[in-house]
Amino acid sequence: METLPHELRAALKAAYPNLTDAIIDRTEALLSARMLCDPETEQDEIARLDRERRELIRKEMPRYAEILQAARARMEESVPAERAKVRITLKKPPG
Amino acid sequence: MATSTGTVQLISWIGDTVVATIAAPPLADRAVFIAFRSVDREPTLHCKAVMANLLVSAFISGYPIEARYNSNWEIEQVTVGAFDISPVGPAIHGDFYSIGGVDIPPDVEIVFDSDTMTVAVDPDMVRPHCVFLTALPSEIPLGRNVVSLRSANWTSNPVPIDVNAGPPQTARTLYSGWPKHRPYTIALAANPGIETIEGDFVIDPVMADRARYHRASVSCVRSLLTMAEDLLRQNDWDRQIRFISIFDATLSANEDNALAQEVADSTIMAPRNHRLEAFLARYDAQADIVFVVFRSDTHNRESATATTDYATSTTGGTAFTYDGVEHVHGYYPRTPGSATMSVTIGNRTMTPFHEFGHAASDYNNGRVRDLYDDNTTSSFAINKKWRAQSSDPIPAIFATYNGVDFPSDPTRDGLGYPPDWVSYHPELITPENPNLMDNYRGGQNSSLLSRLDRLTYAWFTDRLRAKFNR
Repeated sequence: METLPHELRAALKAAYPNLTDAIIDRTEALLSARMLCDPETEQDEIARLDRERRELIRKEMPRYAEILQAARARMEESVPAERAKVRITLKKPPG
Repeated sequence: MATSTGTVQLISWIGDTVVATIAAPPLADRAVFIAFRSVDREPTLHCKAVMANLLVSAFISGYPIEARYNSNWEIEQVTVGAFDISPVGPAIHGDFYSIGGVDIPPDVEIVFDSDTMTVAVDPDMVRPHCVFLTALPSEIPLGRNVVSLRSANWTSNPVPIDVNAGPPQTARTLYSGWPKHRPYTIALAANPGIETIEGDFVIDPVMADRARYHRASVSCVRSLLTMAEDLLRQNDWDRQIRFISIFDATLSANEDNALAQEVADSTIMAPRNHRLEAFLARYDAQADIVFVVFRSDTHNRESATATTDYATSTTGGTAFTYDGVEHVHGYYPRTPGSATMSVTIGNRTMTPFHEFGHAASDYNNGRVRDLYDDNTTSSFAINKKWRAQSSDPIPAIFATYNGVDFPSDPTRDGLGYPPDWVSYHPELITPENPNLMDNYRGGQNSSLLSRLDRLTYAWFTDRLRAKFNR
Protein backbone atom coordinates (compact mmCIF):
# COMPACT_ATOMS: atom_id res chain seq x y z
CA MET A 1 0.00 0.00 0.00
CA GLU A 2 1.35 3.38 -0.99
CA THR A 3 0.96 6.78 0.61
CA LEU A 4 -2.34 8.57 0.22
CA PRO A 5 -2.01 10.84 -2.84
CA HIS A 6 -2.13 14.50 -1.84
CA GLU A 7 -5.26 15.02 -4.00
CA LEU A 8 -7.13 12.53 -1.82
CA ARG A 9 -5.76 14.04 1.37
CA ALA A 10 -6.93 17.44 0.15
CA ALA A 11 -10.39 16.03 -0.60
CA LEU A 12 -10.70 14.73 2.95
CA LYS A 13 -9.61 18.05 4.42
CA ALA A 14 -12.01 19.93 2.16
CA ALA A 15 -14.88 17.77 3.36
CA TYR A 16 -13.83 18.07 7.01
CA PRO A 17 -12.25 21.50 7.55
CA ASN A 18 -11.20 20.65 11.10
CA LEU A 19 -9.47 17.47 10.05
CA THR A 20 -5.72 17.56 10.72
CA ASP A 21 -2.89 15.86 8.87
CA ALA A 22 -2.07 14.07 12.12
CA ILE A 23 -5.45 12.33 12.14
CA ILE A 24 -5.17 11.36 8.48
CA ASP A 25 -1.63 10.11 9.12
CA ARG A 26 -2.82 8.04 12.06
CA THR A 27 -5.60 6.51 9.96
CA GLU A 28 -3.14 5.72 7.20
CA ALA A 29 -0.62 4.27 9.63
CA LEU A 30 -3.25 1.94 11.09
CA LEU A 31 -4.29 0.88 7.60
CA SER A 32 -0.69 0.30 6.52
CA ALA A 33 0.05 -1.72 9.65
CA ARG A 34 -3.05 -3.81 9.07
CA MET A 35 -2.14 -4.51 5.44
CA LEU A 36 1.35 -5.65 6.45
CA CYS A 37 -0.01 -8.25 8.87
CA ASP A 38 0.00 -11.89 7.84
CA PRO A 39 -3.68 -12.69 7.17
CA GLU A 40 -2.98 -16.32 8.02
CA THR A 41 -1.47 -15.87 11.46
CA GLU A 42 -2.23 -12.35 12.67
CA GLN A 43 -6.02 -12.16 12.57
CA ASP A 44 -6.21 -10.79 16.12
CA GLU A 45 -3.83 -7.94 15.32
CA ILE A 46 -5.73 -7.18 12.10
CA ALA A 47 -9.00 -7.03 14.06
CA ARG A 48 -7.45 -4.73 16.69
CA LEU A 49 -6.05 -2.35 14.07
CA ASP A 50 -9.33 -2.36 12.13
CA ARG A 51 -11.26 -1.58 15.28
CA GLU A 52 -9.08 1.39 16.16
CA ARG A 53 -9.16 2.70 12.60
CA ARG A 54 -12.95 2.29 12.33
CA GLU A 55 -13.46 4.28 15.53
CA LEU A 56 -11.17 7.02 14.30
CA ILE A 57 -12.98 7.25 10.97
CA ARG A 58 -16.41 7.21 12.57
CA LYS A 59 -15.40 10.03 14.89
CA GLU A 60 -13.38 12.23 12.55
CA MET A 61 -14.43 11.56 8.95
CA PRO A 62 -17.51 9.36 8.69
CA ARG A 63 -17.70 9.72 4.90
CA TYR A 64 -14.04 8.73 4.54
CA ALA A 65 -14.40 5.94 1.96
CA GLU A 66 -17.05 7.78 -0.04
CA ILE A 67 -14.89 10.91 -0.31
CA LEU A 68 -11.81 8.96 -1.32
CA GLN A 69 -13.74 7.04 -3.96
CA ALA A 70 -15.10 10.19 -5.52
CA ALA A 71 -11.75 11.97 -5.41
CA ARG A 72 -9.91 9.06 -6.93
CA ALA A 73 -12.51 8.76 -9.68
CA ARG A 74 -11.90 12.43 -10.50
CA MET A 75 -8.14 12.16 -10.57
CA GLU A 76 -8.00 8.80 -12.26
CA GLU A 77 -6.95 9.76 -15.68
CA SER A 78 -8.18 7.56 -18.39
CA VAL A 79 -5.04 5.63 -19.17
CA PRO A 80 -4.27 6.38 -22.80
CA ALA A 81 -4.09 3.27 -24.87
CA GLU A 82 -0.46 3.00 -25.85
CA ARG A 83 -1.39 1.75 -29.25
CA ALA A 84 1.49 -0.01 -30.90
CA LYS A 85 3.04 2.14 -33.60
CA VAL A 86 2.49 0.23 -36.80
CA ARG A 87 4.05 1.00 -40.19
CA ILE A 88 2.66 -0.82 -43.18
CA THR A 89 4.38 -1.20 -46.55
CA LEU A 90 2.26 -2.79 -49.26
CA LYS A 91 3.97 -5.02 -51.76
CA LYS A 92 3.34 -4.71 -55.45
CA PRO A 93 1.53 -7.71 -56.90
CA PRO A 94 3.78 -9.76 -59.20
CA GLY A 95 3.71 -8.71 -62.87
CA MET B 1 27.55 -35.98 -50.67
CA ALA B 2 25.56 -32.94 -51.82
CA THR B 3 23.70 -30.46 -49.68
CA SER B 4 20.50 -28.54 -50.23
CA THR B 5 19.46 -25.82 -47.81
CA GLY B 6 16.04 -24.17 -47.90
CA THR B 7 12.39 -24.64 -47.08
CA VAL B 8 10.37 -27.79 -47.71
CA GLN B 9 7.86 -26.96 -50.44
CA LEU B 10 6.21 -30.33 -50.89
CA ILE B 11 6.26 -33.61 -49.05
CA SER B 12 4.50 -36.82 -49.88
CA TRP B 13 4.60 -40.58 -49.30
CA ILE B 14 5.00 -42.86 -52.29
CA GLY B 15 4.88 -46.42 -51.10
CA ASP B 16 7.66 -46.79 -48.54
CA THR B 17 9.35 -43.61 -49.65
CA VAL B 18 9.06 -40.01 -48.42
CA VAL B 19 9.67 -37.50 -51.19
CA ALA B 20 10.39 -33.87 -50.32
CA THR B 21 11.02 -30.88 -52.52
CA ILE B 22 13.43 -28.34 -51.09
CA ALA B 23 13.40 -24.84 -52.46
CA ALA B 24 16.46 -22.65 -52.05
CA PRO B 25 16.09 -19.77 -54.51
CA PRO B 26 17.72 -18.87 -56.82
CA LEU B 27 18.72 -22.52 -57.17
CA ALA B 28 16.24 -24.91 -58.74
CA ASP B 29 13.96 -26.89 -56.46
CA ARG B 30 15.53 -30.20 -55.48
CA ALA B 31 13.48 -33.37 -54.98
CA VAL B 32 15.06 -35.72 -52.50
CA PHE B 33 13.78 -38.79 -50.70
CA ILE B 34 13.99 -41.14 -47.74
CA ALA B 35 13.36 -44.79 -48.53
CA PHE B 36 12.23 -47.24 -45.82
CA ARG B 37 13.55 -50.62 -46.96
CA SER B 38 12.71 -54.08 -45.67
CA VAL B 39 16.41 -54.76 -45.20
CA ASP B 40 16.86 -51.72 -42.94
CA ARG B 41 17.61 -52.64 -39.35
CA GLU B 42 15.72 -51.07 -36.48
CA PRO B 43 18.23 -48.27 -35.70
CA THR B 44 18.29 -47.27 -39.36
CA LEU B 45 14.49 -47.23 -39.59
CA HIS B 46 14.31 -45.14 -36.45
CA CYS B 47 16.83 -42.65 -37.82
CA LYS B 48 14.87 -42.37 -41.07
CA ALA B 49 11.62 -41.87 -39.17
CA VAL B 50 13.19 -39.00 -37.22
CA MET B 51 14.42 -37.40 -40.46
CA ALA B 52 10.97 -37.77 -42.03
CA ASN B 53 9.38 -36.16 -38.96
CA LEU B 54 11.81 -33.26 -39.22
CA LEU B 55 10.90 -32.77 -42.87
CA VAL B 56 7.18 -32.74 -42.00
CA SER B 57 7.74 -30.28 -39.12
CA ALA B 58 9.81 -28.04 -41.38
CA PHE B 59 7.12 -28.22 -44.08
CA ILE B 60 4.39 -27.18 -41.62
CA SER B 61 6.38 -24.47 -39.84
CA GLY B 62 8.24 -23.09 -42.83
CA TYR B 63 11.54 -23.43 -41.00
CA PRO B 64 14.51 -23.92 -43.34
CA ILE B 65 16.40 -27.19 -43.23
CA GLU B 66 19.64 -28.54 -44.53
CA ALA B 67 19.40 -31.92 -46.27
CA ARG B 68 22.47 -33.92 -47.21
CA TYR B 69 21.92 -36.56 -49.85
CA ASN B 70 23.93 -39.04 -51.91
CA SER B 71 24.33 -39.23 -55.66
CA ASN B 72 20.93 -40.99 -55.90
CA TRP B 73 19.33 -37.99 -54.12
CA GLU B 74 18.57 -40.15 -51.13
CA ILE B 75 18.69 -38.16 -47.88
CA GLU B 76 21.26 -39.28 -45.35
CA GLN B 77 21.08 -36.34 -42.91
CA VAL B 78 18.59 -33.58 -42.06
CA THR B 79 19.44 -30.55 -39.93
CA VAL B 80 17.04 -27.88 -38.75
CA GLY B 81 18.90 -24.61 -38.51
CA ALA B 82 18.93 -22.55 -35.34
CA PHE B 83 17.39 -19.08 -35.17
CA ASP B 84 18.77 -16.20 -33.14
CA ILE B 85 15.28 -15.21 -31.97
CA SER B 86 12.41 -17.26 -30.63
CA PRO B 87 8.76 -16.22 -30.81
CA VAL B 88 7.00 -17.12 -27.54
CA GLY B 89 3.67 -18.85 -28.13
CA PRO B 90 1.22 -18.46 -30.98
CA ALA B 91 0.70 -15.16 -32.84
CA ILE B 92 -2.92 -14.13 -32.23
CA HIS B 93 -4.48 -10.79 -33.06
CA GLY B 94 -5.13 -8.85 -29.85
CA ASP B 95 -3.17 -11.25 -27.65
CA PHE B 96 0.17 -10.59 -25.98
CA TYR B 97 3.12 -11.27 -28.23
CA SER B 98 6.74 -11.62 -27.25
CA ILE B 99 9.97 -12.73 -28.85
CA GLY B 100 13.04 -13.97 -27.01
CA GLY B 101 16.61 -13.43 -28.15
CA VAL B 102 20.09 -12.41 -27.09
CA ASP B 103 21.57 -8.90 -26.98
CA ILE B 104 18.49 -7.35 -28.57
CA PRO B 105 19.21 -3.64 -29.12
CA PRO B 106 16.86 -1.11 -27.50
CA ASP B 107 15.88 0.53 -30.80
CA VAL B 108 14.54 -2.66 -32.29
CA GLU B 109 11.29 -2.98 -34.24
CA ILE B 110 9.32 -6.14 -34.93
CA VAL B 111 8.84 -6.79 -38.64
CA PHE B 112 6.12 -9.08 -39.98
CA ASP B 113 6.62 -9.91 -43.63
CA SER B 114 3.91 -11.59 -45.72
CA ASP B 115 3.11 -11.99 -49.40
CA THR B 116 1.07 -8.80 -49.47
CA MET B 117 2.73 -6.40 -47.06
CA THR B 118 5.40 -5.70 -44.51
CA VAL B 119 4.20 -4.55 -41.10
CA ALA B 120 6.73 -3.00 -38.71
CA VAL B 121 5.69 -2.55 -35.07
CA ASP B 122 7.44 -0.76 -32.19
CA PRO B 123 7.52 -3.05 -29.14
CA ASP B 124 5.89 -1.85 -25.91
CA MET B 125 8.91 -3.02 -23.94
CA VAL B 126 12.41 -4.10 -24.90
CA ARG B 127 14.95 -5.96 -22.81
CA PRO B 128 18.17 -7.50 -24.16
CA HIS B 129 16.58 -10.95 -24.03
CA CYS B 130 12.97 -10.18 -24.97
CA VAL B 131 10.56 -7.80 -26.66
CA PHE B 132 6.92 -7.48 -25.62
CA LEU B 133 3.81 -6.36 -27.46
CA THR B 134 0.73 -5.56 -25.38
CA ALA B 135 -1.43 -6.79 -28.22
CA LEU B 136 -0.56 -8.15 -31.66
CA PRO B 137 -1.88 -5.54 -34.12
CA SER B 138 -4.75 -6.59 -36.34
CA GLU B 139 -3.01 -4.99 -39.32
CA ILE B 140 -0.74 -8.02 -39.57
CA PRO B 141 -2.24 -10.32 -42.21
CA LEU B 142 -3.64 -13.64 -41.07
CA GLY B 143 -1.75 -16.74 -42.11
CA ARG B 144 1.89 -17.20 -42.91
CA ASN B 145 4.24 -14.33 -42.06
CA VAL B 146 7.94 -14.21 -41.44
CA VAL B 147 8.84 -12.31 -38.29
CA SER B 148 12.19 -10.71 -37.55
CA LEU B 149 13.65 -8.04 -35.30
CA ARG B 150 15.34 -5.10 -36.95
CA SER B 151 17.34 -2.18 -35.61
CA ALA B 152 19.69 0.35 -37.15
CA ASN B 153 22.69 -1.95 -36.84
CA TRP B 154 21.27 -5.44 -36.53
CA THR B 155 18.68 -7.72 -38.05
CA SER B 156 17.69 -11.09 -36.63
CA ASN B 157 17.04 -14.28 -38.55
CA PRO B 158 13.58 -14.38 -40.14
CA VAL B 159 11.29 -16.91 -38.45
CA PRO B 160 8.13 -18.22 -40.16
CA ILE B 161 4.98 -17.90 -38.04
CA ASP B 162 1.26 -18.35 -38.61
CA VAL B 163 -0.90 -15.42 -37.46
CA ASN B 164 -4.36 -16.33 -36.15
CA ALA B 165 -7.49 -14.27 -35.64
CA GLY B 166 -8.09 -15.51 -32.12
CA PRO B 167 -9.41 -15.92 -29.57
CA PRO B 168 -6.54 -14.87 -27.28
CA GLN B 169 -5.15 -17.59 -25.05
CA THR B 170 -6.49 -18.09 -21.53
CA ALA B 171 -3.09 -18.90 -20.06
CA ARG B 172 -0.02 -17.65 -21.84
CA THR B 173 3.69 -17.62 -21.23
CA LEU B 174 5.02 -14.14 -21.88
CA TYR B 175 8.61 -15.14 -21.33
CA SER B 176 9.77 -18.62 -20.46
CA GLY B 177 12.61 -17.69 -18.11
CA TRP B 178 15.47 -20.02 -17.33
CA PRO B 179 15.05 -23.50 -18.88
CA LYS B 180 14.79 -25.37 -15.59
CA HIS B 181 12.28 -26.88 -13.24
CA ARG B 182 10.31 -24.06 -11.60
CA PRO B 183 12.17 -20.95 -12.69
CA TYR B 184 11.37 -17.89 -10.58
CA THR B 185 7.92 -16.96 -11.86
CA ILE B 186 5.83 -13.81 -11.80
CA ALA B 187 2.19 -14.34 -12.76
CA LEU B 188 -0.26 -11.72 -13.95
CA ALA B 189 -3.85 -12.79 -13.40
CA ALA B 190 -7.07 -11.04 -14.33
CA ASN B 191 -9.26 -11.29 -11.24
CA PRO B 192 -12.41 -13.32 -11.92
CA GLY B 193 -14.27 -12.25 -8.78
CA ILE B 194 -14.26 -9.87 -5.83
CA GLU B 195 -15.27 -10.79 -2.29
CA THR B 196 -17.23 -7.79 -1.05
CA ILE B 197 -17.23 -6.41 2.47
CA GLU B 198 -20.57 -8.16 2.97
CA GLY B 199 -18.99 -11.49 2.06
CA ASP B 200 -20.67 -11.81 -1.35
CA PHE B 201 -18.84 -12.66 -4.54
CA VAL B 202 -19.28 -10.43 -7.58
CA ILE B 203 -17.75 -10.60 -11.06
CA ASP B 204 -14.76 -8.31 -11.39
CA PRO B 205 -15.41 -5.80 -14.22
CA VAL B 206 -11.84 -6.32 -15.44
CA MET B 207 -13.06 -9.53 -17.05
CA ALA B 208 -15.00 -7.43 -19.56
CA ASP B 209 -11.98 -5.36 -20.57
CA ARG B 210 -9.21 -7.63 -21.74
CA ALA B 211 -7.42 -4.88 -23.67
CA ARG B 212 -7.01 -2.85 -20.50
CA TYR B 213 -5.86 -5.89 -18.58
CA HIS B 214 -3.13 -6.32 -21.17
CA ARG B 215 -2.01 -2.72 -20.78
CA ALA B 216 -1.95 -2.96 -16.99
CA SER B 217 0.00 -6.20 -17.17
CA VAL B 218 2.67 -4.73 -19.41
CA SER B 219 2.79 -1.70 -17.09
CA CYS B 220 3.62 -4.09 -14.25
CA VAL B 221 6.42 -5.73 -16.21
CA ARG B 222 7.70 -2.34 -17.37
CA SER B 223 7.76 -1.10 -13.78
CA LEU B 224 9.72 -4.15 -12.62
CA LEU B 225 12.25 -4.27 -15.45
CA THR B 226 12.82 -0.87 -17.01
CA MET B 227 12.85 1.83 -14.31
CA ALA B 228 15.78 3.19 -12.28
CA GLU B 229 15.54 0.41 -9.69
CA ASP B 230 17.54 -2.42 -11.27
CA LEU B 231 17.02 -5.10 -8.60
CA LEU B 232 15.44 -7.53 -11.03
CA ARG B 233 17.55 -6.73 -14.05
CA GLN B 234 21.01 -6.50 -12.47
CA ASN B 235 23.40 -8.65 -14.52
CA ASP B 236 20.46 -9.32 -16.88
CA TRP B 237 18.89 -11.45 -14.15
CA ASP B 238 15.48 -10.99 -15.64
CA ARG B 239 16.48 -13.54 -18.31
CA GLN B 240 15.87 -16.07 -15.56
CA ILE B 241 12.38 -14.86 -14.65
CA ARG B 242 9.35 -16.53 -16.15
CA PHE B 243 6.34 -14.27 -16.80
CA ILE B 244 2.90 -15.77 -17.34
CA SER B 245 -0.58 -14.33 -17.85
CA ILE B 246 -3.98 -15.82 -17.02
CA PHE B 247 -7.21 -14.29 -18.26
CA ASP B 248 -10.06 -16.78 -17.93
CA ALA B 249 -13.37 -15.17 -18.85
CA THR B 250 -15.25 -18.43 -18.34
CA LEU B 251 -15.04 -18.37 -14.55
CA SER B 252 -17.84 -17.35 -12.23
CA ALA B 253 -17.33 -15.29 -9.09
CA ASN B 254 -17.17 -17.60 -6.11
CA GLU B 255 -15.03 -18.64 -3.17
CA ASP B 256 -12.62 -20.58 -5.38
CA ASN B 257 -12.21 -18.03 -8.15
CA ALA B 258 -12.19 -14.68 -6.35
CA LEU B 259 -8.59 -13.52 -6.00
CA ALA B 260 -9.30 -10.13 -4.39
CA GLN B 261 -11.35 -8.81 -1.51
CA GLU B 262 -12.55 -5.40 -0.40
CA VAL B 263 -11.21 -4.13 2.92
CA ALA B 264 -13.88 -2.51 5.10
CA ASP B 265 -13.67 1.20 5.97
CA SER B 266 -11.12 1.80 3.25
CA THR B 267 -10.69 1.88 -0.51
CA ILE B 268 -8.19 -0.98 -0.39
CA MET B 269 -8.47 -4.10 -2.51
CA ALA B 270 -6.49 -6.93 -0.92
CA PRO B 271 -5.27 -10.16 -2.51
CA ARG B 272 -6.97 -13.37 -1.38
CA ASN B 273 -3.57 -14.95 -1.20
CA HIS B 274 -4.82 -18.26 0.18
CA ARG B 275 -6.63 -18.94 -3.12
CA LEU B 276 -3.75 -18.25 -5.47
CA GLU B 277 -1.91 -21.54 -5.48
CA ALA B 278 -5.00 -23.62 -6.29
CA PHE B 279 -6.08 -21.08 -8.90
CA LEU B 280 -2.74 -21.24 -10.70
CA ALA B 281 -2.65 -25.04 -10.51
CA ARG B 282 -5.73 -25.22 -12.76
CA TYR B 283 -3.57 -23.83 -15.54
CA ASP B 284 -0.62 -26.07 -14.64
CA ALA B 285 1.13 -22.98 -13.32
CA GLN B 286 3.03 -22.07 -10.18
CA ALA B 287 4.36 -18.67 -9.22
CA ASP B 288 6.52 -16.92 -6.69
CA ILE B 289 4.66 -13.61 -7.10
CA VAL B 290 1.14 -12.98 -8.41
CA PHE B 291 -0.18 -9.63 -9.57
CA VAL B 292 -3.97 -9.75 -9.37
CA VAL B 293 -5.27 -7.20 -11.87
CA PHE B 294 -8.70 -5.92 -10.87
CA ARG B 295 -11.18 -3.12 -11.47
CA SER B 296 -13.37 -1.47 -8.85
CA ASP B 297 -15.04 1.90 -8.53
CA THR B 298 -15.12 1.70 -4.73
CA HIS B 299 -11.94 -0.18 -3.74
CA ASN B 300 -9.29 0.91 -6.18
CA ARG B 301 -6.21 1.19 -3.97
CA GLU B 302 -3.52 -1.45 -4.39
CA SER B 303 -2.05 -3.58 -1.61
CA ALA B 304 0.13 -6.64 -1.17
CA THR B 305 0.68 -9.71 0.94
CA ALA B 306 4.16 -11.05 1.57
CA THR B 307 5.35 -14.51 0.66
CA THR B 308 5.27 -17.42 3.08
CA ASP B 309 8.12 -19.73 2.17
CA TYR B 310 8.21 -23.41 3.00
CA ALA B 311 10.29 -24.25 6.00
CA THR B 312 13.91 -24.99 5.16
CA SER B 313 13.54 -28.58 6.32
CA THR B 314 10.87 -29.11 3.63
CA THR B 315 12.36 -27.66 0.47
CA GLY B 316 15.67 -26.07 1.44
CA GLY B 317 16.94 -22.55 1.78
CA THR B 318 19.98 -20.31 2.11
CA ALA B 319 20.85 -19.14 5.61
CA PHE B 320 21.64 -15.50 6.41
CA THR B 321 22.31 -13.52 9.53
CA TYR B 322 20.71 -10.20 10.44
CA ASP B 323 22.16 -8.52 13.51
CA GLY B 324 23.69 -11.86 14.46
CA VAL B 325 20.41 -13.80 14.30
CA GLU B 326 20.10 -16.60 11.74
CA HIS B 327 17.23 -16.60 9.25
CA VAL B 328 16.63 -18.31 5.91
CA HIS B 329 15.90 -17.33 2.34
CA GLY B 330 13.49 -20.16 1.45
CA TYR B 331 13.66 -21.65 -2.02
CA TYR B 332 9.96 -22.26 -2.65
CA PRO B 333 6.83 -20.40 -1.53
CA ARG B 334 4.13 -22.21 0.40
CA THR B 335 1.94 -19.19 -0.32
CA PRO B 336 3.14 -16.91 -3.13
CA GLY B 337 3.59 -13.22 -2.54
CA SER B 338 0.82 -11.20 -4.14
CA ALA B 339 -0.33 -7.72 -4.97
CA THR B 340 -3.56 -6.32 -6.29
CA MET B 341 -3.12 -3.92 -9.18
CA SER B 342 -5.89 -1.70 -10.45
CA VAL B 343 -6.42 -1.97 -14.17
CA THR B 344 -6.34 1.83 -14.22
CA ILE B 345 -2.65 2.13 -13.27
CA GLY B 346 -0.71 4.37 -15.59
CA ASN B 347 1.64 3.27 -18.31
CA ARG B 348 4.70 4.31 -16.31
CA THR B 349 4.39 3.93 -12.58
CA MET B 350 6.35 2.56 -9.65
CA THR B 351 3.24 1.21 -7.90
CA PRO B 352 3.87 -2.38 -9.10
CA PHE B 353 7.47 -2.29 -7.88
CA HIS B 354 6.49 -0.81 -4.51
CA GLU B 355 3.98 -3.62 -4.00
CA PHE B 356 6.50 -6.16 -5.28
CA GLY B 357 8.77 -4.95 -2.48
CA HIS B 358 6.19 -6.16 0.05
CA ALA B 359 5.12 -9.25 -1.88
CA ALA B 360 8.61 -10.63 -2.45
CA SER B 361 9.54 -10.33 1.22
CA ASP B 362 8.72 -13.11 3.67
CA TYR B 363 6.32 -13.02 6.61
CA ASN B 364 8.59 -15.29 8.65
CA ASN B 365 12.11 -14.40 7.51
CA GLY B 366 11.97 -10.66 6.90
CA ARG B 367 9.24 -8.26 5.91
CA VAL B 368 9.86 -5.18 3.82
CA ARG B 369 7.69 -2.49 5.35
CA ASP B 370 6.28 0.86 4.32
CA LEU B 371 8.54 3.67 5.44
CA TYR B 372 6.12 6.58 5.21
CA ASP B 373 4.70 6.07 8.70
CA ASP B 374 6.02 5.53 12.19
CA ASN B 375 4.32 2.18 12.81
CA THR B 376 6.04 -0.10 15.24
CA THR B 377 5.83 -3.87 15.04
CA SER B 378 7.15 -6.90 16.81
CA SER B 379 7.58 -8.80 13.53
CA PHE B 380 11.01 -9.01 11.89
CA ALA B 381 11.38 -6.07 9.48
CA ILE B 382 14.33 -5.72 7.13
CA ASN B 383 14.12 -2.01 6.36
CA LYS B 384 12.77 -0.32 9.49
CA LYS B 385 13.92 0.07 13.09
CA TRP B 386 12.83 2.07 16.07
CA ARG B 387 14.56 4.17 18.71
CA ALA B 388 13.38 4.16 22.30
CA GLN B 389 12.73 7.93 22.15
CA SER B 390 12.33 10.23 19.18
CA SER B 391 15.02 12.43 20.76
CA ASP B 392 17.56 9.60 20.67
CA PRO B 393 20.14 9.95 17.91
CA ILE B 394 19.78 7.76 14.85
CA PRO B 395 22.45 5.05 15.12
CA ALA B 396 25.18 5.31 12.47
CA ILE B 397 24.89 1.60 11.67
CA PHE B 398 21.39 0.45 10.80
CA ALA B 399 22.04 -3.30 10.78
CA THR B 400 24.66 -5.95 10.19
CA TYR B 401 23.62 -8.25 7.37
CA ASN B 402 25.74 -11.34 6.71
CA GLY B 403 28.62 -9.71 8.57
CA VAL B 404 28.49 -6.42 6.68
CA ASP B 405 27.50 -3.18 8.41
CA PHE B 406 24.87 -1.12 6.58
CA PRO B 407 24.58 2.57 7.57
CA SER B 408 21.38 4.31 8.54
CA ASP B 409 19.77 7.11 6.58
CA PRO B 410 20.16 10.13 8.87
CA THR B 411 17.85 12.40 6.85
CA ARG B 412 15.11 10.10 5.55
CA ASP B 413 15.60 10.56 1.80
CA GLY B 414 15.85 14.31 2.20
CA LEU B 415 12.16 14.29 3.21
CA GLY B 416 13.26 14.46 6.85
CA TYR B 417 12.05 12.40 9.82
CA PRO B 418 9.14 14.13 11.59
CA PRO B 419 10.34 15.17 15.06
CA ASP B 420 8.02 12.78 16.86
CA TRP B 421 9.06 9.69 14.87
CA VAL B 422 11.04 6.95 16.53
CA SER B 423 11.48 4.89 13.37
CA TYR B 424 14.47 5.19 11.05
CA HIS B 425 15.64 3.62 7.80
CA PRO B 426 18.74 2.23 6.06
CA GLU B 427 20.93 4.38 3.84
CA LEU B 428 19.67 4.97 0.32
CA ILE B 429 21.39 3.96 -2.92
CA THR B 430 20.40 7.28 -4.50
CA PRO B 431 20.02 9.83 -1.68
CA GLU B 432 18.63 12.42 -4.07
CA ASN B 433 15.41 10.41 -4.51
CA PRO B 434 13.06 9.07 -1.82
CA ASN B 435 13.04 5.39 -0.96
CA LEU B 436 10.73 3.30 -3.14
CA MET B 437 9.10 1.95 0.02
CA ASP B 438 8.61 5.47 1.42
CA ASN B 439 6.57 8.41 0.12
CA TYR B 440 8.51 8.13 -3.13
CA ARG B 441 6.28 10.60 -4.91
CA GLY B 442 7.26 13.29 -2.43
CA GLY B 443 10.73 14.03 -3.84
CA GLN B 444 11.96 16.71 -6.18
CA ASN B 445 12.65 14.35 -9.09
CA SER B 446 10.51 11.92 -11.04
CA SER B 447 9.12 9.12 -8.88
CA LEU B 448 10.37 6.73 -11.57
CA LEU B 449 13.92 7.38 -10.30
CA SER B 450 13.22 6.09 -6.80
CA ARG B 451 15.13 3.07 -5.61
CA LEU B 452 15.42 0.82 -2.59
CA ASP B 453 17.89 1.37 0.22
CA ARG B 454 21.26 -0.39 0.21
CA LEU B 455 20.37 -2.98 2.83
CA THR B 456 17.04 -4.01 1.32
CA TYR B 457 18.67 -4.19 -2.10
CA ALA B 458 21.43 -6.47 -0.79
CA TRP B 459 18.94 -8.62 1.13
CA PHE B 460 16.60 -8.95 -1.87
CA THR B 461 19.56 -9.72 -4.14
CA ASP B 462 20.52 -12.67 -1.95
CA ARG B 463 16.92 -13.77 -1.52
CA LEU B 464 16.29 -13.73 -5.26
CA ARG B 465 19.62 -15.46 -5.97
CA ALA B 466 18.62 -18.24 -3.59
CA LYS B 467 15.35 -18.67 -5.46
CA PHE B 468 16.88 -18.35 -8.94
CA ASN B 469 19.42 -21.06 -8.12
CA ARG B 470 17.02 -23.46 -6.40
